[in-house]
Amino acid sequence: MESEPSNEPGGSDLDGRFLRLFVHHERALRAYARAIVPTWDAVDEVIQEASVVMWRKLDQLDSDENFLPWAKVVVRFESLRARRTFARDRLVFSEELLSMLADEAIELEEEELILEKSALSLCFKKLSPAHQELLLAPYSGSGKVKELAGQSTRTVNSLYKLLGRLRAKLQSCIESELASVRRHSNATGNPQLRSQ
Amino acid sequence: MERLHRHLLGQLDAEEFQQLEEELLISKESRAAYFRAVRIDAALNDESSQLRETSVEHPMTTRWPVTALAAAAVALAMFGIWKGVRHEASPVAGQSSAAVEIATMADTRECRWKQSCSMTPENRLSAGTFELESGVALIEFDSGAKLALEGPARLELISAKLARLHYGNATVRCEQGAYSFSLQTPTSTVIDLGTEFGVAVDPGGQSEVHVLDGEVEVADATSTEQQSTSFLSVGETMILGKNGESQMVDRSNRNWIRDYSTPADRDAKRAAPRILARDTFPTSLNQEKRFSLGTGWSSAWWQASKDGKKGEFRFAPLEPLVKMDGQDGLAMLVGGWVEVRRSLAQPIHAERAQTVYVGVSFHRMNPNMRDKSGKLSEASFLLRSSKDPATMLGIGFSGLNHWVVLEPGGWERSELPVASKSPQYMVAKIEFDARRGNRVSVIGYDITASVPSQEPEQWELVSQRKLAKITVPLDVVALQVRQTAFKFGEITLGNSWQSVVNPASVDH
Repeated sequence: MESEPSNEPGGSDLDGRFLRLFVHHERALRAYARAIVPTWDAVDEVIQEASVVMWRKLDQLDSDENFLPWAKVVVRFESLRARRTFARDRLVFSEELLSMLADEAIELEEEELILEKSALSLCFKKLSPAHQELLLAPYSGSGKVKELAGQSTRTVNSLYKLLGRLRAKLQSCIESELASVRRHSNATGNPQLRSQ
Repeated sequence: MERLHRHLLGQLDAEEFQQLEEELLISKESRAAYFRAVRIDAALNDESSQLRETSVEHPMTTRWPVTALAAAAVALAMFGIWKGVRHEASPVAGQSSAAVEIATMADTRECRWKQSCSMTPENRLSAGTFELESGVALIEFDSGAKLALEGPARLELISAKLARLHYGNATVRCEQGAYSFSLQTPTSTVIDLGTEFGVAVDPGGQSEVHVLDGEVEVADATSTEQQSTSFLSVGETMILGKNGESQMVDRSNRNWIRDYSTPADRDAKRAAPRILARDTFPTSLNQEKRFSLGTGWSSAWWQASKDGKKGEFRFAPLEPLVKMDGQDGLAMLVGGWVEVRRSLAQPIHAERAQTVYVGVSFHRMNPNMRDKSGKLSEASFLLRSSKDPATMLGIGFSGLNHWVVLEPGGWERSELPVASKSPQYMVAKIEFDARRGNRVSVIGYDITASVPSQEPEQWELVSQRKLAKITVPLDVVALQVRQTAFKFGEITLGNSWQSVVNPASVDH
């Protein structure tokens, strides 16, 4: 672990700068990687690799404002490189499509993600505890959905179908929440929340 | 949209995957939709890791076995018509031990049972199967769901939230705010989303699901590989074949039983309306014995402020309140942090099954004055015991405009703020039942709206039955106010809806 960036409070200024920037933008970077690689485990690996590269090359970054686009280039490179390992054992998009997605996913902006997160919390709370648990199950390690199916009268397959449906519903709820926030911010002239 | 999410979940087969890939390659719009789905995925992932961080302190108590079947107010929540209540995590009832009681036989109407067992109203029921040859049996599950079974039928009780209809007709109604209930048939599971539906199962195995109110989810249970889920809305009818094929039909030709009344309900309806206690306060400040007017009391109002907090109560002009009997007069103003009390001439013996209705008209003074945390002043109506100060049952109007039911050892709050804020007329129905637990239903009417002469089907808050016993007589009525002031226009306790909302119609 010696090559890892130090996260000790007493680390150098460079470490401090890196950590501050990285933590601030981690959410956006992870979402960006997710658009390219097929699983969250893969995202973890990609971000891990990318963070080491970023930390080593941070002195090449001229100003903090440019961190995100710069970091996305690194994440993009690591994500496309990771594709080759995943392509062996699961369905993975072609390099052509992934490059296209990587280019366009640049638009996944920080503010959007933060707004979306708060809309999600709002919509999520409206769901029953069972549906909340099911929605989060895919993120609680492999086998969680299977475990839930084992405890109920449903099959894994049907739970995944329900999951697809629930997520689509959640998305509609979030999008209508966001639309109303944007309408409001357009009306009050808040330029940060302009509509897409 | 669903397909994008199934892709992100790694659930597309090769063919679907290829189709999606082609679509994404040629359409920028599809790619934009893909990014939106990715963002939802990212937000859910965030939510999940935050929960994991906090779960050390707050372990998730939700267990799947019950909750999976008791899925979900999702659709209703999306359309904003779900007005549930907040629950503390409830224990998993009737899950393992067969001897656990999970329901009550609430009514039997000309029932002939196949077994020699004689089931009568008030029988407590455990998990098990019974067959009804003819007649109608009403079963009230401890989860709050009511099931009317029409013979001939065979029903298997599984838990407080789950039953299986082998054949016959059944209707299910969940009280607003109750957790969901599921009814299984040989080919499907019908999951209530907080409302009312009918299910009929032919001896041949074909079944019909008809939604009488609200929405339900129907999960096909015939195939273990491909399980499909449909959502039905009010008025919709689905026929499910023995082989799992389903088909929507225009209408249901059956006569669904929608009468969930118990003998006690019918007795209460038949009983002459009676007023237990009523006070409309003085008509003028010159009236004598101002604090001891009204009927059904054994004392005058007194101030019970033990904690030294300042408060006052006096009489003030009625406006904007009105009295249900149309009379003029004054209102009682209670302000500060104070509780005022008055003794009932006839105490309420809560251990006896009975229903007490309460009507209170009230108005929040200074409706814009908020405390540091942004809350308005709050008021509660309480039934108390003079023998035991900790025993009480009541209804509060919170600083954020929610109804709150207060019971020994807990409280329950309406999920959404109530529509009419203040001034308003509140009616509460308190069903005392020592065996099954007490239940309180609350509704409020804006002072400009007329209060219906009949009891409503839907209340704004219906509390869950809790087995907190009240073993001492409730002999004191208390009005409690916090922060600023409330005016009370009148207060009535009666044995029926009518006695409270139309006191003039009741003979004294």
